[in-house]
Amino acid sequence: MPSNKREKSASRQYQEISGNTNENETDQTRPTTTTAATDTKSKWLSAHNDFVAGINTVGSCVELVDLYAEGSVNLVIADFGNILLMPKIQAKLKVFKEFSLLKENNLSDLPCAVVACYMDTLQPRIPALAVASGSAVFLFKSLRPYYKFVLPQMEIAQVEKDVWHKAREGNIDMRAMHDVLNDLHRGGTVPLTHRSLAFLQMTNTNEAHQFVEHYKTIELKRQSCITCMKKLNKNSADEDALNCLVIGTEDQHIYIIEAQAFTIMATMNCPATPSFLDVSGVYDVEFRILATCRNGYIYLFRRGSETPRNAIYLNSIAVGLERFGKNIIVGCMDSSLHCYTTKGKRYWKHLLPAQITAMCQIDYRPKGFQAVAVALANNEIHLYKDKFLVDVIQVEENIYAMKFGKLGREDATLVMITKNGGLLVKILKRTATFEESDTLHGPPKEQQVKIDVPKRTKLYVDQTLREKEQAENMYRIFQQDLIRLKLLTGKEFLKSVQAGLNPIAKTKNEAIRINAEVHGLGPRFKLTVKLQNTSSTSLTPIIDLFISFTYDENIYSLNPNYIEIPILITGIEYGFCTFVTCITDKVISDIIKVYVCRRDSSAPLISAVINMPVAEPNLSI
Amino acid sequence: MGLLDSFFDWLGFGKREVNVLVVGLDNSGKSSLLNYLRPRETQTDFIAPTVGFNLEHFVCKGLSFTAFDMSGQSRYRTLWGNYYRTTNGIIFVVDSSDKTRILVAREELQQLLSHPDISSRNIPIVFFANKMDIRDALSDVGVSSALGLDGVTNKSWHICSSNALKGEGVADGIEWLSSAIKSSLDQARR
Ligand SMILES: Nc1nc2c(ncn2[C@@H]2O[C@H](COP(=O)(O)OP(=O)(O)OP(=O)(O)O)[C@@H](O)[C@H]2O)c(=O)[nH]1
Ligand SMILES: [Mg+2]
Repeated sequence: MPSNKREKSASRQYQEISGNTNENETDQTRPTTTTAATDTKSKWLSAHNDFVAGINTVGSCVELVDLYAEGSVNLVIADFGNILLMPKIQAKLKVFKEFSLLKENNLSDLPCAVVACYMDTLQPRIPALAVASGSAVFLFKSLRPYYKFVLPQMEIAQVEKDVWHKAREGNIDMRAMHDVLNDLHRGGTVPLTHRSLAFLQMTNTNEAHQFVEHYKTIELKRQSCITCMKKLNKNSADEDALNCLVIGTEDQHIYIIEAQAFTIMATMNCPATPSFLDVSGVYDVEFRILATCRNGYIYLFRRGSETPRNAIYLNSIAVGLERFGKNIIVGCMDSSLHCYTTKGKRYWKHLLPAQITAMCQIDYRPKGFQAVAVALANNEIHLYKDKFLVDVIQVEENIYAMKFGKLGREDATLVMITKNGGLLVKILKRTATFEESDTLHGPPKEQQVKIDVPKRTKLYVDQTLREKEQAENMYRIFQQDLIRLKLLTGKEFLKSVQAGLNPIAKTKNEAIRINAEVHGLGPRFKLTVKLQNTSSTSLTPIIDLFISFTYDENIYSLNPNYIEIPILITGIEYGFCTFVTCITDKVISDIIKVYVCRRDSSAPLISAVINMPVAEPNLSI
Repeated sequence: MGLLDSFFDWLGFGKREVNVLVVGLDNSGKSSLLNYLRPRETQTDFIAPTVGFNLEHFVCKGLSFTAFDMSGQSRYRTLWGNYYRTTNGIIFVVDSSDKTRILVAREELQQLLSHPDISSRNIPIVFFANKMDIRDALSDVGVSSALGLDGVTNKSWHICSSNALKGEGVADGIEWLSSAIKSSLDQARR
């Protein structure tokens, strides 16, 4: 396929420009030394990197299916084409074999989902492709268009019908038509058809006239749009059993459609427009449908009921929905990932480092590995197994669509479509193991480590027995002691407050800190008393204080031994000095007590005890 | 090998018994290749995917081969390692039309080469770039570079394209392997 060749060489050029080392083309002329397969740490092999594949799609439009029942799985993508060229639609259904395009079919409208389903019981089991786009599901058998299912017509307001009926009869009054339809639209009670809405949007009378002329003879229809589609097994849980389709629509319905005759088997009313579906079970026995809706709810439907059984309110709008057994994993627009039970109980929530761009389920049966892959806007793909982050894959671009499954003959491949249309394929290494430990979230691994508890000794057993028997007594004694201790502490505290013994004085509105220093070797010392007014409540300075000292007059003489403190301004540290002379010949030292007192009170505000050093003998020369 | 056997060998009597391990991903054509080496009357048309492994015998260049036809399915690949110690040579079959998985083959080869029972010995390896008849299949050069064979310097190896159904290229590779095993055995004896 020459066009494909060209694309490949182009992709190589791209990679050279960007200096990308992850070059992994399985091409004959490829240099071998640069393959990423040598990256031994990664759990993934980069099997294919084509950054210019030109694919524009979302996760629900990617399907992995063995289209020819030959044991080799094809990649099927419903490609939006270049949506910048709208309204010209270039949407295509593309089927790949290996990494090259096998076949493509044009689609008439933008697709929203592709599902491979079995719609007959013939052998070998060859699946058909159902493509939901616009208001129809197109069925492709052997890649040829086979059937088109159209959503049921919806009611049209009589007034609207009359307006267009009149137009058909020839008396077209643009003004009146516009007014009637506009009133109807403003009223908001009856939804208009697309045709009327388009008409209302026209500003140019000429254009509007042409529009009416063109459409007046065509029958007026109102149809909904399909927003999501999944498959459901019809009468057996086998993997290749007959399927039916489950379709969510813009007009807030969920239809279950039989894929053989295309009849609607069940209709459910959803309180809002569903955006993602998850379907499990068997139609004939019991099934569940989970639908995340645009109003931020997840609804659970079950067989036999038209209305939802349960509703789970999300704080944000869902951007992805996966289910593992009874656990629902849902990614939200506020870059959070939640896990709920089907009953609506939340198990955990993670805040992710960036917005979610795509989600997919990883179910690798041979290894029993189940996880959800979440692609983020910071070019990382996070793999969560239960609530544990078990792997982070770095990619070069934002991933807009992802699908994990079998591709070709490989069981564990992750297919990714990037923002700029690249197609990337990674293969899970056979030897890869995912450790459930996780440093980011949850308890550390050490918590699970069993502590090696030594054997119980006799002493221990006796002690526990005694504790059991005497518990009440012990408790009482303990409480008694505790209260006694508290009382003692209180008493001592009171005493020190009364005596002004503690180094920080605190009266109702005055707080003073004292700090004393002794300088010199002796026999003459300099004693510096530092005071600081630390009261933070009032800014008024403290006045009328004085310092006095008590000491043994046989040992020391102080000059002065009384210091007036005129004022202490908040915050400032003041120093007051006095000279201490040791007047004894003996080699002894004593304490000097410093009191800071108020003139109007007998108890000192604060006090300090200074241990004087032994004085050097007086050397008189 | 007993003393008597080596004596016979030295005289050129009898055939030396050698073991070879046939590995490669599933569906690469290992069983088909060995099927082709059987005598014509015992060849079968239908080959089912191997479960576990099968034993095959064939003779080439005076060597009597016992081939362990391993299953390539990922759940059986751990079995390969059990036979590395006793093998005299390795046949590595690659499906050259399976571009998706050529990197997986490379990964498995890497694992094989780094296994202690292989890395410490000089075991000849022959690579078959099989299914060369399929359109768009890689050439032997392409397979060689995709597998990173340039980096394999401490083993004697050889690659040839093959078609296991028609037998093209098969004899070529097996003959190379026989002479490589012979020379490695001679070397070991000396
Ligand atoms: N076209 C073509 N097909 C081949 C060739 N060799 C094998 N096949 C086919 O490939 C398929 C798998 O061959 P097997 O011999 O069973 O592969 P295997 O490597 O033994 O597979 P496992 O036993 O599962 O590991 C069969 O359908 C063969 O017919 C070949 O050279 N060309
Ligand atoms: Mg086999």
